[in-house]
Amino acid sequence: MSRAGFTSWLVPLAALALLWGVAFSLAAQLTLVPLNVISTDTSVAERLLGASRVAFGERFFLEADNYFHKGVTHVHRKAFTNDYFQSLSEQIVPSGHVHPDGVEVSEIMPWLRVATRMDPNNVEAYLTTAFWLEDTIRRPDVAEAILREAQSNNPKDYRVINARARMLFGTGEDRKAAMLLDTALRFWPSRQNPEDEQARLDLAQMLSYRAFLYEMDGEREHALDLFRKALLAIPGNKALEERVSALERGEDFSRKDREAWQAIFARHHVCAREGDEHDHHDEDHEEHH
Amino acid sequence: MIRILSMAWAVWLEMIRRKDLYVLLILLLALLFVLMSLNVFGLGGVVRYVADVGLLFAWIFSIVLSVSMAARQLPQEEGRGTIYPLLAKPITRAELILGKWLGTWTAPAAATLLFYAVIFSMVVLRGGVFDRGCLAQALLLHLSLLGCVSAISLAFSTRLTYGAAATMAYVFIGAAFTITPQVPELVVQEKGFTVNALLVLYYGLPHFELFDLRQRLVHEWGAAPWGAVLQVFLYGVVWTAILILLSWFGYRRKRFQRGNVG
Repeated sequence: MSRAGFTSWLVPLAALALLWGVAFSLAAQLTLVPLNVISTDTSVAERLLGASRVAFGERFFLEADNYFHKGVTHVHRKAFTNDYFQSLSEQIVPSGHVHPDGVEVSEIMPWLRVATRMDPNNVEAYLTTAFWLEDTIRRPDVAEAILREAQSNNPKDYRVINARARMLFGTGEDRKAAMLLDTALRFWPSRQNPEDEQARLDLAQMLSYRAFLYEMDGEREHALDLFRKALLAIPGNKALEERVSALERGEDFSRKDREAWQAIFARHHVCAREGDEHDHHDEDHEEHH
Repeated sequence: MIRILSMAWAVWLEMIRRKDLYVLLILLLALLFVLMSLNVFGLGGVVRYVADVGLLFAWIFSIVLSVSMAARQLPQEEGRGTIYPLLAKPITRAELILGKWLGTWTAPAAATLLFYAVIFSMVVLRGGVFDRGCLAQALLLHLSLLGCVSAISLAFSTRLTYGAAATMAYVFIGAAFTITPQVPELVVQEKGFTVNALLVLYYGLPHFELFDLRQRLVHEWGAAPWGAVLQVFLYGVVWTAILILLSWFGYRRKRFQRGNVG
């Protein structure tokens, strides 16, 4: 092929690479524009990529997971594992189940940001972003902004509203937390399977938090009713059974209960690769429900 | 040897004369500046994605440069008719092949060194750190792979036009990167003939994934065992030698027709 021929495809390649860079930068910027204005417009990602942005979003979310495991990708079942190439690969390619130390987890943020920009309906990506921002990176303000954006893009998803409610519950903003919990309970189970274990746990947590807030307001009958419903969602839960019994006996609540409920329904990072051997560098963060 | 070096030097001069390298370098710089300008959530100190994306593009650009240069050499000489005065000189076809390979390996290799220098300067400027031993290993294997890539393109170009040779080289390299390492997983779901076909691919195609130390470098895993790295390097050398030999077989008795533009 002539020089002109070579140049003819080099230019589109150059344009493609530049567009990718621009798309990445746009996707990763935390905008200061009010979020409700953005949500009514078509996003840049949607305009550029159409429906394929969802697949890109998933890919970037997976990349965040890879970063969370320090570049180690998911291991799938193999037909054979003992040939020369694989033994070489084991020595060269990073392997094992390792998580980053403390704020090193910030390294996953660009990919999570791009994932949510690519697919604003990826609630999991939003919740993961907010979790790490609040829990390990200690930036609850940014976590709150992210959850507001998530709610703007997914107004009927109980998980986002619940996440906001939990943050407010944790900081003692009970009125706002109660309002959000009421809304989240109305939307439950959203698009989740109501029989799903996590969805039922979420329901029990929301009911319990709301019940506790009713207790704080002195509305014991409402509280008892909600605690019973929570117990129906996760039958056999000792803490809930004791709470229901205590209320039925007429015992008073204690402010310490707030900590107790937060501990009972503590949020944890659920590693998708649980079951693999772990080498946690950061033992500060909690694991699992 | 002098004749081989002269041939390689001519390839270097061509790379300098053409603007491909500058275009790719400017693209890389633009991309890196865009990435550097990001401040995700105002966190600061987040730098791995810059190194990761930068290295990804360094790999893509170096392979594109290597394939386009190597696949072009012989068809271009034939198309322009310059192959006749070239072969009229006291130079064997084996020397021609070796000279072309040497040039199309070392020129993209130098460009790759430049790409790495740019990327890691930026990473360090942003406060990032990297293991120097691991960087040396990553570079060694990257350059070794470029030798293979150049030899693959050259081998195809002995019998194909530039466009066809470049396309075949991209398919071959793409398969070596994406399909070969997946075969042990793909075989699990397959039966009969497909399993055999996949195993032929697994053992027949080069394992380019072994040459890629980007994740190790970016996520600060430190240097890999040198014994393993040298084995991969030698594996690359063997593949390159086989491909250069194939190129020579493909070219040693080739007849030319004037005006057969590649």
